[in-house]
Amino acid sequence: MQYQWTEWDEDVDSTPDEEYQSLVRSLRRKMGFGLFFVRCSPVGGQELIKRVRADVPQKQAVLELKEPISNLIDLVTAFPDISNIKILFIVGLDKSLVEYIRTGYGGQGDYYNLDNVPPILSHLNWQRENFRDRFPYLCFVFLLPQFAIKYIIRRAPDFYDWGLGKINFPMSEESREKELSRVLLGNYEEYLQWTPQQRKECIIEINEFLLEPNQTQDQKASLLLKLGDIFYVNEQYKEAITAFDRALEIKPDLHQAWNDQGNVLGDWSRYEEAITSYDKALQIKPDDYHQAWYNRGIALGHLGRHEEAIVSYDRALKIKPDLYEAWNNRGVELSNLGKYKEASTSFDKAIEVISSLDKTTEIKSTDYKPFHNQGLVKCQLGKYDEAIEPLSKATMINHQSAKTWKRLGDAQLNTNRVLEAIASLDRSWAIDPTDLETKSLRDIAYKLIDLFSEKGETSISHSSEKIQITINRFSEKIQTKINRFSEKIQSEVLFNSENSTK
Amino acid sequence: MSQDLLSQIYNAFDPFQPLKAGDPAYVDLRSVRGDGDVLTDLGRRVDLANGKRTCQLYTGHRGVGKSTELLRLQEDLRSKGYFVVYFAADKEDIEPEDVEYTDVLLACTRHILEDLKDCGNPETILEWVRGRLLDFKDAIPELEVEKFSAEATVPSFGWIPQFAKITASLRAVPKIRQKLRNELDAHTPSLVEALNRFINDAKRKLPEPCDDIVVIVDNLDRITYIKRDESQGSNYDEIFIDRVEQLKSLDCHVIYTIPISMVYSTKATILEDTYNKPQVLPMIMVKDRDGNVYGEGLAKMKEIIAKRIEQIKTDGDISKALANALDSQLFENVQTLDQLCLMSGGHSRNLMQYIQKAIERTESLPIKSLAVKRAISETRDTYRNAIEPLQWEILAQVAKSKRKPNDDKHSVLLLNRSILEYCYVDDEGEVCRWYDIHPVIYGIQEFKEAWQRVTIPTF
Repeated sequence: MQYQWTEWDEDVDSTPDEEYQSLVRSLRRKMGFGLFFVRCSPVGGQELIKRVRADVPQKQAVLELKEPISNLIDLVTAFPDISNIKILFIVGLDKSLVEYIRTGYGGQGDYYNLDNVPPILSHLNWQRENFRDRFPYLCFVFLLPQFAIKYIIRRAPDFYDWGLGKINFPMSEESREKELSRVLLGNYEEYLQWTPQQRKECIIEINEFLLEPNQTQDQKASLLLKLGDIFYVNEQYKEAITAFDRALEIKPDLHQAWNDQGNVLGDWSRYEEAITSYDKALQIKPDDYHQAWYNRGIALGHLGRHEEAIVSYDRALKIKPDLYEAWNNRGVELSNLGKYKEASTSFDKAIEVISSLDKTTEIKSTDYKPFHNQGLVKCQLGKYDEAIEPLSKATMINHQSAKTWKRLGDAQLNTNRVLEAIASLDRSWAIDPTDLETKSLRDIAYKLIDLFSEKGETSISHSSEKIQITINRFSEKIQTKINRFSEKIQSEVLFNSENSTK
Repeated sequence: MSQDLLSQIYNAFDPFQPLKAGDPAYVDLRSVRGDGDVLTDLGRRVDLANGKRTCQLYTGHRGVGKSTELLRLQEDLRSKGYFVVYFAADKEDIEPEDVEYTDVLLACTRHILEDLKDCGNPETILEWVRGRLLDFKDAIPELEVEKFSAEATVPSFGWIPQFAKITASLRAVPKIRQKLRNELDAHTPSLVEALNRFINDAKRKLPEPCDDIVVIVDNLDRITYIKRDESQGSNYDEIFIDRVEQLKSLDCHVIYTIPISMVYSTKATILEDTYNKPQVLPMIMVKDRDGNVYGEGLAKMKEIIAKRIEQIKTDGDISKALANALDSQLFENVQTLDQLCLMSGGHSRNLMQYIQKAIERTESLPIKSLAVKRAISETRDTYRNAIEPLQWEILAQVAKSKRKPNDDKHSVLLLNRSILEYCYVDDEGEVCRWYDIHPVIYGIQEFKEAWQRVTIPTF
């Protein structure tokens, strides 16, 4: 089968002004009932209403919907002086649709859901004839964002089918600039605090904004960067990558997009690709991009490329010596290589930075990691005495880490502080009752207590013969535990995998 | 003057009003729609049933002229001595997100009652209602129970609005709806029985010269397609197939309009087995299966335009003259007029929309080709927004093969008029149906790419 494409298959673009003029002509000529649709932003809508008021003589009014609705016909019927109005602008109908859409790939996944219909759309679809019969002299002009128009096309097709015209109405340049700075407000940390609803609305708003004509490439790229970051927070990785790709297509040297894309790929366990992305970012901004160096280190660490990871952290730390997360992770990589002494020095550096932090800066609960790690390495080196302080510190910053409590209990047990060990191990057991190592350490500790009370002793500083025997009996068990410990350090050492986006 | 005329033309192509029977703007399109005709197909079957009742389905693309045809049928049946109860189901009757057969049955009951209250004795239905009254009152506290009492019901019909209240409550609060439904579901057979007794009583007392009743339920194709999950059927299946026995149970002739996708779903054969073969109103064939312009169809499209123009009231013979010179005075040349018709795919509402959209972009007659091209572009944009990424290849296959299998994927595309149905009678007198995509889709980039990718499928 052949098809002969001709000039009639080609789109003919109209300028925004031509489209506006066609709306004005229709509104002037229309006698009686009519439906019109205008794609515009909220600000653009206000501008359109003002212009039409100046250009079209018929009596006009605006019905502004502030809340989701399921019945429009009753609202219009109750509108003051409706019988004398000839043109009624309906603003905000999209508010009734937001709840029902799912933001997805390129904004396309939204309308796929055939499992329900927003009530307002079935209302419009079924009341079509009633609108015609009840308001035979009224022209309805619906001002809507693109997503709402698409939704109406798909889920209220009979209603849309009666539409006489659909135009695009962009906002004025001045408003666009103002709106853009508002839309671009915020950063990754703030997006994390937003509700899913806020993020959804923001995704819609950006997608709508991208439809506005005459934007500079830089503006579009910044919008897409923000879109990608929000998808990232939503863990919609595919959509995030697409957004960054689009941003980079427009502006290949947008290093932030490369870095953030690396973070998405990293979180998606695609570490090689993440490293490529970070490398791109560093190519563009080689001298002071500690975030990318740091993130790159994380990705390398995941791949077991410990030496390279250490080099990456060193680069980050050269730029920003107080990046304690990098000191911590560097220590982790060193202990992975069995270099516990060097690791310990690295953790010390991290602890030093955290301890020197301004009192007003709030210590994050994740900041316990270098303390925990330091304690762990000290245990590994057999220096249980020295392990107790950093581990206690760690439990003060974060009370909820079962592993920290366990290791603290272990260190206490090994330095004959049995009562304290029991308290720590109880905490650990309460948080994680599945850890078998905690269980056996606890058993040992309680056994020791039993022996003391038999002897009527309250402190083990006067360790008797029998206690010594018991400890010896258990020491074999403890020894196996310690042997396994060097493997364990890999699983217990706490890596800071929070990517840096700042 | 010219502005006035343009305004008049603009308003003459409003898509809102189905033509009444006998409207001078009506164009007989049988010959370009495979010789199908609502009067001979649906109407004759009623006529030939010879006292037996019939239950028929009618469908076609949105905006193709179903309601216009049904209004003609109504008039024709009336002239042949049938009492026609015609109603367009709307939200008064139906809760669109959650339609069940009960809603359709109650809507029928209400409209039959309203139209036949002067003929039949509604006592049977009243009795049925009285039997459930306490339950209804329970669910609908504002129901005026006393209106149903024996003293109140004769001779006034004040209880009919109360009955409407029951049906209206079905669509109100979901909790009430479920409660009422449960109540009604249990008693559906007895309601059908009561309704049928009423119908049979009414049949004997119909005003002269009527001797039989036909109920036409329009607009059921307006029900939104809902599919909750892949393993289950859609709401269409639930309404039109799962409850088929009740749909067929009324003791009179019934014609339902159903969504076009229903006729071609995977369950299409069940539908044909249980109802008479559904009647489908196809598009006007403006091109043949091989893609050549089909002269007769094109001429019919022009006739639709001319007849609408002729109806415009002007000084002297201006509108007549205009109607006679569409290709020079209304449009700047014959190519513009031809393309306008061809690019509608033979869809009458689409044709009228093009004309309105082109006039929006026109200051004075004749309408320029650029204005028509812009109108077409605007429609193309609507299709671009309606089609999902995964559907382009399906469309390309239909465009290449001019055929389509019966499945949900294709049904959805019929529903949004991306796939159009055509029909003709071949040399052996056989009715042939074939399919094409809406012509504006050929110009969409995603489609062109899909066209390159796919080969002609074998179904």
